[in-house]
Parts: sequence; C-alpha cells; structure tokens
Amino acid sequence: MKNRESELNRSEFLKGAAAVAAVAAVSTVFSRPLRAFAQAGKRSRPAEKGQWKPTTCQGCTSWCALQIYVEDGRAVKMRGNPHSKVNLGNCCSKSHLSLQQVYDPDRVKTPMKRTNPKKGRNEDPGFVPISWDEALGTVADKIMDLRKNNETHKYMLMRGRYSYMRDVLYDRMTKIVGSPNNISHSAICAEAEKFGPYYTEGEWSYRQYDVNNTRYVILWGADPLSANRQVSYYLHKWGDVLDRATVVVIDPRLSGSAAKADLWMPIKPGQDGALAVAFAHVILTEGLWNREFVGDFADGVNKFIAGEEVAEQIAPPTTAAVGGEVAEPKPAFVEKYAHGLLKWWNLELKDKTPEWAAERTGLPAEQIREVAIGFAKAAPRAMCWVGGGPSMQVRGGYSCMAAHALNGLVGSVDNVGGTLKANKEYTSKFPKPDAFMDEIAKAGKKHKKIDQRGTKAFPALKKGKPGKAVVTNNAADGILDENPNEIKVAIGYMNNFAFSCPQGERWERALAKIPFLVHITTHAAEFSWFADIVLPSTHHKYEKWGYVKSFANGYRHVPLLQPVIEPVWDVKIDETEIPWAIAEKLAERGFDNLLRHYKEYKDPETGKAPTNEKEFALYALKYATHKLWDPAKYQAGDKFNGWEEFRAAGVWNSAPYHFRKRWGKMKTKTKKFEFYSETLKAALSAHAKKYNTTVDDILSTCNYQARGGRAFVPHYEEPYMWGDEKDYPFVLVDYKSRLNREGRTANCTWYQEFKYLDAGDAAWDDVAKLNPTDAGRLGIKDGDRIQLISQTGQIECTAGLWEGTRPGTVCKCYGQGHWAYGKVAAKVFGKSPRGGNNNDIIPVDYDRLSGSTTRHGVARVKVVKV
Amino acid sequence: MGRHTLLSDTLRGQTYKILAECFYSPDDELMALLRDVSESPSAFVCRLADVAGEVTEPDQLPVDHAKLFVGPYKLLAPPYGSVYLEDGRLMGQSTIQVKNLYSEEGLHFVLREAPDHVSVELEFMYLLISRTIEAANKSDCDEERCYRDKQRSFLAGHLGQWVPAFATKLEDAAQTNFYRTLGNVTRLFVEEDLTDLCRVDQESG
Repeated sequence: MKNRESELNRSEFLKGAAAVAAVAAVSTVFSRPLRAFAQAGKRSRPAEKGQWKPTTCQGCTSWCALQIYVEDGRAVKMRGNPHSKVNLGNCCSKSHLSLQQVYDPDRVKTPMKRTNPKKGRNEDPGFVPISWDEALGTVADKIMDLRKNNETHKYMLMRGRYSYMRDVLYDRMTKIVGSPNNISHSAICAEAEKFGPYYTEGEWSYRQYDVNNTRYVILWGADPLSANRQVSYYLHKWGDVLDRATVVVIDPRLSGSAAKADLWMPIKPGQDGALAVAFAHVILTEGLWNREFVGDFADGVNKFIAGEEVAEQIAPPTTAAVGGEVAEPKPAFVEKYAHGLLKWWNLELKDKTPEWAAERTGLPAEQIREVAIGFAKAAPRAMCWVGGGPSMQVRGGYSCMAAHALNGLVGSVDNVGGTLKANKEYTSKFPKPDAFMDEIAKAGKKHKKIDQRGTKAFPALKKGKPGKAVVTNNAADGILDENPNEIKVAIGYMNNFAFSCPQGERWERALAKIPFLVHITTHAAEFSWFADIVLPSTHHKYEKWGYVKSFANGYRHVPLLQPVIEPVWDVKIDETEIPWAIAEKLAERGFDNLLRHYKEYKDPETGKAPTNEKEFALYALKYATHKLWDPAKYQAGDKFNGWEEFRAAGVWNSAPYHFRKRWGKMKTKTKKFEFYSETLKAALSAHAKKYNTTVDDILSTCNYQARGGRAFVPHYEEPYMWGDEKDYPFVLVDYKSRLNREGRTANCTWYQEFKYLDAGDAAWDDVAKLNPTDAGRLGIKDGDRIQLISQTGQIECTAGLWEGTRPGTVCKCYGQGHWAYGKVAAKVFGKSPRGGNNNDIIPVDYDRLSGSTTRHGVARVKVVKV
Repeated sequence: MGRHTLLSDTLRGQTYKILAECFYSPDDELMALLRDVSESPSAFVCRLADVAGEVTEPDQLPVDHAKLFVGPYKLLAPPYGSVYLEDGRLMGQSTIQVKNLYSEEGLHFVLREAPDHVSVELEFMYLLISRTIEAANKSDCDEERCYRDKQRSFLAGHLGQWVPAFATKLEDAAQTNFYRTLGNVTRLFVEEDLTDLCRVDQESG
C-alpha cells in the first residue's frame, strides 16, 4: 500500500519565517561535494563525429568480423567488416540485438553478494552491491582456504561461450590454483558433430563447406540460413548456391533452409543413420563411388550386389601352386586414399537397401535412391553437411559418422565443392603454467574430473583418447553425488547451465549445494540465482579485448574483439581482467604464483610486463596474435605493418584453401579416410583395456547396439528415446531460433517482437508446432494453451498448427522459458516464465562415446490441452 | 528578485541535492546526512528525514535499494530517463542530450553510470540552482534569468518528463517505507517545482 500520509503541498514546503533560522542546516547540504560531476572549466563541448570501429560478434558461433558505428561514445548501429574474407562485410539480423544487450538496464552493473544464505529456486538471493575489492578479496579468501587445506581439487571453473583468451581463466588459473576441474560447455553444444569427422578423417572439428563450387548439398539437420555456422555468409551466398546446386534437407521440420531447398525429406526423428547407410548402399551398388579417392576393384568389376558379401582377398589362381610356390592372395579392392571399404560393405552396408531404410525413415525408397544417385553423380562437387540434428542423439556419434562417410565415398573430402577443414592460422598459446604449479597445485591437479569422463560408462573419446572429451551435463551429477569429490568453490562465466542443460533442475540442486559460487556475467540468469557473488562482465562485442577464429568461403579469419565504447558501468573483462585482479588478491594473501605467471604475458612490442589488469588484457591479446601483425614474424595470409594496423583493420585473413592437400595425410591411424576406423578401434580398445574388458562390454555398458567389427564402421543404430510410444506418442524436435541461437537474447524486446521469424512462431510467445492432422485428432486449435509432458518434466506453451511439422512430432524452438533473466525474458519475473524451456522436458542422456548431451530424437512427449 | 526567492531557491537546491543523495546506496553516510537535515525548512526533506529516522530494520534497505535501482535482475524501478522517454533501453538519444547539456555547463561527468540516472539529473538541477543563486548574489540579472531558464528547460524537457512515471513505479514496488516515501516525495516535489517554475516564467513574461 502506498503511504498517502506523506502527501505534501506547496504551502507546507516553506515553513514560513522559521525557515530563516534553519539556514545552518541548508548550508550543511550545500557544502557537500558534487558526486556526478567535476568542473571541467571549459564550457564548450568538442563535437565528436561518428566513427566505424572494428570488433567481433559472438551472438552465435559464426563469429563475424563487424564494425560498430560509435557516435558520442555510444554504439548506434553495425555492419559486417569489409576486410573479412570469411563474412565478406555481411552481418546477420541477430547481430543487431546486441545493442539491446549492451544497453540493457537489467545488466549486472556492480559486483553483488547474496544476503540470503539459503539457496533454491524459491529463495530470493537478496543481492546487494559490494565493491570490486570486497568481491575479489572474498574469492581469493575462499581459494586460499582450499590451498591451506590441500583441497584445491575442490575448485571448479565452468565455461560457457568464450573467446580464445579463454585459457587465461579456464586453463592457467585452474592449473596454478591446483584443480583438474575446468569444465567447458562444449558437450552441450555439438561434440558428437565432431565425432564423425574425427573417426573417419582425423579432424575433431566442425567442417568448412565449399558452397562456392558445390553442385549438390545434403543438409542433415543443419539450418545454415538460421543457425548453423557462418550464418551471415551463407545468407549472402545461398541464392547462388540454389542457382548452381541441388539442395536437399533432411529434417523432421521444415527449417528455414528446407523452405528454400529443392527437396525436403521429413525424416522420422533418430533415423538419420538408416538413411545414410542406405545412401551408401545405393552409391556402391550403382558403382558411383569416387575411384580417384576411394580406389576400385582390382579387376574393375563392381562386386557390390545387395545382400552379398564381397571377398576382401582374391584367392591365388590354382595354377600358381603348380611349381610348389604358393602365391600370396591379393586384395580384391585397390585402395587409394580411403581405407576399409569392403569391410564397411560386409559389416554394415550390404543389406541396407533403400527399401530397408524406407521402413525406418518414413521416406519413399525411390526418393532415397534418387537422392543418393543425384548426390554421387554431382560428386566430387557434392557435400553432406552434418549438423547437430543427427549427431546430438543417444548413439548419435555413429549417425554423424555414417552421414559424413558419404563425403569420403564420393571423394568430396578436402576437395573442390566438398567439405574442408579450417585453413591454417598462426596465433600462439599463452605461456606454460607448469613452472608456477607448486606441490599443492600438482597434487590437486592429479584428482579425477568432476564430470566423470573416462569412467567405464563415459568413454568420451576425444581425438582418439579415452576420457579426453568433456561430459558437461554430467558434472551436475558429479557435484550432487560428490563423485569423484565435493566441489567447494566454483566460478562460472558466460554460461547458464541451470537453463541450457537438459534436466537443468539437477544443476539447480548442484549449484545450490556448492558452498561458494561465483558467476561472471553480463546478465544475471538462472545460474546467478544460486551464486554467492555475481561479477559484472564486459559485453564481448563492445567492451572486451579478445580474439576468435572461424572459417568459411575458403578462408579462415581471426577477428579481434575490441572495446569500442566506454562501458556504462564499472565492469571487467571476464577472461583477462578478472583473473588478473583475483591473482593480485591471491598475491596479497601470500600466494603470488598466478600473478607471477600472468606477468610473463609481455607486450611483444616493448617487452614490458603488465603492471595492471588493463595492460594485462591488452598485452595478452598482442602476445597471442603476435605472428599475425608483426612483419618480422610473418607466416602467411594478410600482412600488417604492426599491431596498430592490425587493430584498425580488426581482422586477419588466412591464405586461400589448398584443396586435396590432406589426401593420404589424414590424421588417422592409416593416414587415409577410414570407412573401417582403425582410429576408433584403437580408442575403444584402449578404453576397454583400462577396465580389463572387451569393446563389446563397453558398447553394452554405454547403450550402443553394435557388437564386433560393426563398432568400427559407420553404421545404423536404432534411436533410443525416453518414454513409451503409447503414453508419449510424439517425438520432440528441438531447434535453434534465428534471433537467439545460443540463447542470450531472451531479454531483448526485438527478439520477442520478431519471434515470428522462426516459422510457425508468434511474437512474444512460445509456440509448439503440431501437424494439423495430429492436432485435429486431439481437438487442439491454433492458439490453444497446451502442456508438453515427458517422462522427466512438463512445460506449458501455445499450440500452433503447422504443416512444416512431420506428423508424430512436436517442433519447438529452444530459447523461451526463462524465469530469472531480466524484465523481458520472463512473463512475471521470478514467478512465471514466458512459455517453457525445452530442457525441462528433455531427459538427461548422452552419446557416451563423444560425451555429448543429447537433445534430438531422445524425448517422447504427450500433448495435453490446458 | 528578493530575499524570499533566494531562500526558496536555497531550499529547492537543498531538496534536489538531498533527493540526489537518496538514490545512492543507503549507507551510514546517507543516514547521517538525513539526520543532519531533520530540521530543514523543506517539508519534503523533513519527511524523508523522518522516515529515515523510523527505519527499524536497516538491513532491508540495501536489498530493497538493489532490487529497485541496481539489479542484478529485473529492475523494479529503473532509475534511467531513457527507459521512460525511449524504448526501455539505456544510452538513447535523450541520454546524449543530457550529457551534452552537462558539457555545455563545463561539467565533466565522472560517474560509472548512465548520464540520465536520476541522481545525476537531480544533482544537475541542484547545480543549475546554485548558479542561479550565485548570479543573484552578484546581482547579475541576465545570468540569473539565463540559469532560471536553464532550470525550467531541463526540468520540463528531461527530468520532469520521466520522473513522475519512475517515482510511481518506485512507490508501487518498494518494500520499505523509506523508498516508498522517497518515490512519493520525489514525484510531488518535481511536479510541483515544474509547476512553480512555469508559473514564475509566466509571471515574469
């Protein structure tokens, strides 16, 4: 209730003659100094002309080089940086939303601490502002406590989105403090998408797609016009691609790219592997594989006949034995740059006919045959573009492998019009931390990681090594179960695991359990709700020094993140200034190893060691990019005359792509493209050996169906879904929004106003799309409120009837459903979200060989009218 | 201009300055200041001093203050002009206008804050009033008139445009009597001062 007693009026303002006597009180006030202003003396304002300043966008993972127009110290608009050979001066619509982020009144403005010691979704943290000094001092005290008690392994660093300055905070600080627990977000992103290319061609990475020269594109659950890789570049190029090439999209949903494609194949969720092996079957039986890359039968006669095994060796002719000498058998197939084609055929492909695949995928056999033939005939200027859709599924690593193997089959790997790797760049790693790790740190570092990677059920086979890949989402269970140990002090930055991980409720409990949690962020989010201290971070695009690297168009670029404006508030750079400031506080408390280490990041121009956080942020960047801008260190690509010239251009471009350079030199066991993956065999065998068991036992433990040699070839695995089809008749199809993607724009009104840009969606709403026939059966109309219920949760949203939904599925964009993320994102802050978070109904599960969290083809749901 | 005007200018200036101070963190210094002015001839100031004196749970003030004006989540009463005058964001065209006004007065804006934060605009009014008083003390009528025009123009063009909406939000959202009263006092004072300045303008015009 308002206090109306305090209503005042003019007659009361001046209390008559008594006022004269109170001049003393008035003068007390007038002697108080000004707080907001200093007298500058001059009364004229220097006219400040607007200027384009270079920086980089990390609104998604395209990482476009941009220019920001800054007028009166204020960022007002942006465009692509014309110096980039990757995004070619283009900038997507999503990028502009960052203006609403950097100038959001809901930003974190000052360090804050929690006043309510209880933690939980229903516990208001009661944050109050504190000084940087107090905040960082508290962090340092907590770390010193761990060091005093020889339990530095109970320190944890959680990393969300990052620039390549990341290792300052993520790696070096964690190691020198003495913990193994630096946990990246990568496995909730798309690690399974890297599994396929690694275990065929030895590249643990995303691919580059030579769309300039391609004639046939198959998009597997990827939507480059909305959300996959270099969006602004592909938006710019796609008209030409459609002119030159046939574009086929495999997706249960009519994506942005599918709407423009020549053919949309609305596959049943989880059946991508079936389609991929059937494509391979057709290509082989039709004799359409690429001889130049793969090789050919010794006698030139195609022996791939459906249902028939092919002998790997040709028996010596009987006449050869006449003289008493036994001739060696010869390989039936003369391999060139690929390995194990016959094994792949015999172990997997021979029975995988289009008719077999049609039964599983719900796609017509004839169409499967036609696409396979069209693709192979266009080859080698043909590409299978494999996105997260087929990969981020339980057992999805093999689907990714199968779809990517088609590129090998048609010789488009590393070839004109095909799938490429990243061009070479010449940034440097930061100085090594080893000399600064004392005995406490070394002992702490030896402990096992909190995400349980490398345990029997989590092989996490990154780059051929068991236990190398992060299992991000499982860290919540590691914390909750204190297995391998408890976590006492944790820092998270540019992340929001409580929202962005499937079954995020586990994260809420895990974060609440950590006695001291710090969140470094521009915007307080669900993760911050459980924090003890929230630290305000610079906005990456406008206020930070850093660099990233990305590729497209046959080039790689390294664009700089630069502070193009003075931040409104006293914020610090997450990856450099804050760790430096913590290092100073640790040094004050008698532990100066981290600060001494950071002082090694000397300015390459002057040789000067940094003396404060500002210098450190800049010197560290100059150090890492030294070879790009110093003419004396020149390697290749763009050449600059020095740091200032590089900084002003804002981006370095690599040399053009060298096609086919990797043929015969791939980083696999055989140096070839492996259809029978000796590389995966070695990795799986190493993991099995660690547990004194067989590969088959590992596969069984990890919920894969393959046994024997099939485990080493790209093959079909049945999808594994949570929920019985009878009780949960629909499969959830989760995808990314054009204007949100990584999920940081939910508090922008422009995101909400233009939400309808995601086909089937509506402004300021969260719409689950049902096929009209399914909706009719359920009596659901457009705009009805519905609940989506899975085995693990339920959310409420609006129903949309949309023909772009494959019957039997519910398509819903990720991004809405925030309950604590500023005034716009939630419907009623802290109480009711706007729509629902897909992660609340996606059960936690994994593609355990890659460590990836699964999002696709995993959640069965039922739809109930509210 | 006579002694009466001077005194009321002094009181107006005091009120603006006290209000400006009240939107910063509710620390001991603020409470001491409000105790010091509890005998102020300004009923607005007295009312604030009274409620500050009535605070029984001082721990609640910083939490309420943060939720209303600082965050880190949804601000319950965003203390920024552009939020009300433009599209709900900061650093709009109106923000740059006030920043330019400060520069024109030879002032260097030193806070790590948006230039149209309520405390900044209130303090700017206090400054314009101080300069009006200085001019009056020097009997420089032109300058006095000039600064009185500046007061009116700033209040009518900026502060007075958005403070009523802001203060109403504050009155509605505040959990403590102190901030509820601050909203009420700010709204009434600014509205009334604007009316007065316009009336003086008409009378002298």
